[in-house]
Amino acid sequence: MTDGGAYTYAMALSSVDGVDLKKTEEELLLVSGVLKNEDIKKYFLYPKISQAEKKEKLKNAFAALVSKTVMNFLYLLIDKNRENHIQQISHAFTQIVDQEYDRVRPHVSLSRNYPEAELQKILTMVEGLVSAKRDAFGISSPAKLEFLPETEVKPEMLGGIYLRLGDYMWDSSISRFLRDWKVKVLSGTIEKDAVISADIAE
Amino acid sequence: MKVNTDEIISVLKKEITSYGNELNVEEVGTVLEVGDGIARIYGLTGVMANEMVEFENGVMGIAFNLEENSVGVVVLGDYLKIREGFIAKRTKRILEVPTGDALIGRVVNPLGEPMDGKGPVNTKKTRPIEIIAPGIAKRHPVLEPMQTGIKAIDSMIPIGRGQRELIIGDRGTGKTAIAIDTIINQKGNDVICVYVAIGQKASTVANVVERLYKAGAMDYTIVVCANASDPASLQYIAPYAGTAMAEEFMYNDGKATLCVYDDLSKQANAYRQMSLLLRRPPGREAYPGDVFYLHSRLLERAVKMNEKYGNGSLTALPIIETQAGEVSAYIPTNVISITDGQIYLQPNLFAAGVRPAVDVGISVSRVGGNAQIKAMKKVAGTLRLDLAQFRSLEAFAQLGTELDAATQKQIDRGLRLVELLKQNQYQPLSVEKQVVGIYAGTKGYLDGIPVHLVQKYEEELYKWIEASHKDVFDHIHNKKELPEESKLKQLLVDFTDQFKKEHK
Repeated sequence: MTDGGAYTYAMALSSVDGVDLKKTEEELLLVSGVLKNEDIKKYFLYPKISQAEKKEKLKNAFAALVSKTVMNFLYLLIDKNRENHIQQISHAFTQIVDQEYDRVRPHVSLSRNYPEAELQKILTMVEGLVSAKRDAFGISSPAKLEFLPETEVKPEMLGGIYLRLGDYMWDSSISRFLRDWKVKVLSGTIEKDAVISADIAE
Repeated sequence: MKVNTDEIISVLKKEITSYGNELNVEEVGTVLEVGDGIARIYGLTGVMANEMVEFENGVMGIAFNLEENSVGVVVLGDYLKIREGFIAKRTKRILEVPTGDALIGRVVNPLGEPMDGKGPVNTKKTRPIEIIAPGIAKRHPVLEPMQTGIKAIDSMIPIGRGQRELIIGDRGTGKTAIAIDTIINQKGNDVICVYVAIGQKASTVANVVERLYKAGAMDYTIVVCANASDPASLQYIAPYAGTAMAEEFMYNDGKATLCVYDDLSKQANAYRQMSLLLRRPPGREAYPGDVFYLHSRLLERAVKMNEKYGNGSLTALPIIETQAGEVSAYIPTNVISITDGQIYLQPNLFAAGVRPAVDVGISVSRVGGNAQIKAMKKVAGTLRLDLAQFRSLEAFAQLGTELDAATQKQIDRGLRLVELLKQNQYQPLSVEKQVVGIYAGTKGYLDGIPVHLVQKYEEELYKWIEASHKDVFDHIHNKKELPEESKLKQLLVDFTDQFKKEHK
């Protein structure tokens, strides 16, 4: 299934009357988490097991945990032989919910582990930055944003922050700075004027 | 080069002080797969067609296919250094090449990077490689000659400034030689030449460059080189890059420029390779559907600008290699239909020693006639007809049939004219010499000279006039007209008599 296909299923589910988007998102994450298991995947891929049997198994496993709408959706996936695409659909559904509730998921990379308080400070700074420069990050909604940051430690960055938000990136790491400098030095584009003005500034 | 560490420290200090002052958010994507010079990228949702994309290791690419879930990027450089998961950034500009005087005399790749080991190209000027060709309002009819220095071409297939004249023929028929002679002949004419070598062996290009150096032609020539070992993407952009370099001189300085594309069949092959790898549907001969546009948009950029727009010109000499004389193949027919005429080179003429091996019967210049100087127009008027008649009678001569006097005379004249039009490589002739030589041939002064002495006659005639009657050459050169005909006739009679006596 293409990403477009998954998005279509997710969109259809999100448009069902009376569906609670956040609750449905959680339920889909639960189901997709379970169906990610390789053995379970094999079971659902096995062609000799009938669709009715597969539905029965899903009912036994999830009927008590998920809403009737989600259960019906899972049955539909079985009918359409799309049960193994639940991860993609769940991912697409999360994106729809993110859009609906103005949630953003910045991916922040840092050069080392920071104490919790300092990390919070950095993440608050990132929040402020993204909120202030929405256009630059391709965010069109004027509403207050809900931040769900993910952090990662990359020692090779040497310092600074690397922020990735969807298709946008802000790289203020020291390694990037040095890489750009290397290019400038090798291409001979360092301006003489820059040297002079730096001397004056001193 | 000694590195001045103090300078570097000083600049670094400044950069560190102002570090983080500006928020530079970039639009990026992630490499999903890479191979055969093509990278497929997820993300880059806002990227424009033909926009430059920069991979995280500094390699550049061009966004070629904008698809629903990914972007097909053609890598301009070593794609083996790009890995899955690499970040690719938008640059928000289309591909540009450095331009300006600093490029003259240099051998560069299609990105404008030097290949001649003479250090960086010191210029800040750049131009986009693709532009929309100027419209009708900016153009001027082709009226000025672009002398090639080759008798057979300047007399019968004249090329004008701003014209597109195709040079077509099989391999080894002297296509490149004509182009190189034309470049050499521009010495002192204030014409900037760009030689674009596409898909050729590096050694072949090195020979051409060496030849241009020896002839002093590198003083006004730029060589753009995408060798056979370079990626298809570079071979594809090479002619556009060369044109952009020439356009800088044409648009900004109002200069006459000459672009040789050697050869466009290899560029079409490179484009076919890229298109197939991008899974664009193949058409005739597996070329993509827009292969005509590939060449038409390039050759439409050949232009003679009108006075309001600087009077500059860009003359294009595209070269197409045919396979076993097959001119009705896809690419040759396309380029023939785009250009304003073609110079057709025949392998059998080449083998028979007629060099340049121009087949004047099927070679044509559609607009160049207006650009010929008056003197040449006058003397070359009957040349094509004489040669055509000779070709039709030539077969009889070979059969050894006894012929009437008139036919025999035509054959004799034809043999001498063919001999007269032979010319050694890298020895372009000035137009005044050509005019006098062809005048002597068409007016029958060569009729009494044995065929094997025609070239000697011609050589000595030029020397003699140069030494004792230089005013004749000066008159043609300056006024572009024939001198008083009686005077010219007398000169030729005198010289012919003298030559005959010397070579009894």
